[in-house]
Amino acid sequence: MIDNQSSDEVLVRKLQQSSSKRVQQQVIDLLFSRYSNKMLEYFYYSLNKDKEKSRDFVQDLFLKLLEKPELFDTNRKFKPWLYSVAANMCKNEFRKIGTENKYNEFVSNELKLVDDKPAAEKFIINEALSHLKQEHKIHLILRYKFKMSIREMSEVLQCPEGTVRSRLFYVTKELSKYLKR
Amino acid sequence: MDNKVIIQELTERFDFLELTEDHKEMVLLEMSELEYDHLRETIKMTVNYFENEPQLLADNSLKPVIEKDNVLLRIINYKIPTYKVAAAIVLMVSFNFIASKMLNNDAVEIVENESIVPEESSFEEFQKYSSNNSIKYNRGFARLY
Repeated sequence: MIDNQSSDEVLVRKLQQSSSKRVQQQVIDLLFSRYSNKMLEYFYYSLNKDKEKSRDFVQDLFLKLLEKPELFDTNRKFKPWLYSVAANMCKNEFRKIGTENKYNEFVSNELKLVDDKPAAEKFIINEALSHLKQEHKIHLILRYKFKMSIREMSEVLQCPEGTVRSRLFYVTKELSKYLKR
Repeated sequence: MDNKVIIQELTERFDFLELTEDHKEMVLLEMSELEYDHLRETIKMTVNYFENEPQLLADNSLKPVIEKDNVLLRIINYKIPTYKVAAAIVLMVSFNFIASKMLNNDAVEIVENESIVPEESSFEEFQKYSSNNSIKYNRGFARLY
């Protein structure tokens, strides 16, 4: 029997060890309820707000977890590990489709129709974000959307904390350049 | 620690006017006050942007479902390698062949005794009439002469 209060790490260990399909389903149900919304948003912002693709990626991510739970290193924390798997999935996708940004045109056209100030601000940020490279944008998403600490980000991005901070500094600076225009 | 790393932390938390004199000095070595404020404004706008975006919900259709085992289907769909099937057929045929051979060897030929009419050989004829006092047996049913 699975305890709903079990930590993520305990759950994944159960998934690795148990051959019972009932237990595996319970574990996946719990992890899905804890992380599916966050993962959907993560993919949504990372993949230029492509809802359908984000849904596919969420499905793939949990399927991967179910089929290959042994990929999880039990010495690591589950949450940053899951985000790093998601980040790698996005990186592979960027490599596949290139860095072209179809989103820009859509934002620019929409912006012309907006009079409302907060909505206009939202579109300006949208456009500025869309100019950033995908691997840079991920820093802003993790920090300001998911409110991750620098330590968590360093675990997700698998680089030292100092590197995360300096990258954040440069990405913010780059974003501010687009906002000035 | 690199100044930029510290400035990044400061821009997230303080306006320029809230900084200590030491921090102000350090910031001014890297950028103007205006640039600092602009960075700070960028961070605020980004946070605001993400906070005001509608929350996305993942429905259960995205959740992987483990199919329950159907024993009958598993048996039907079970793929046996061709060489195993061939080996099984060879075994069955050879077993059948060997068994039939063994049965043939053990079989006893049934003879219908009633249809056999014992023939009297010349020796038996001789025995029959050689002495009047001897007891003589014929083949088949014992008959006393």
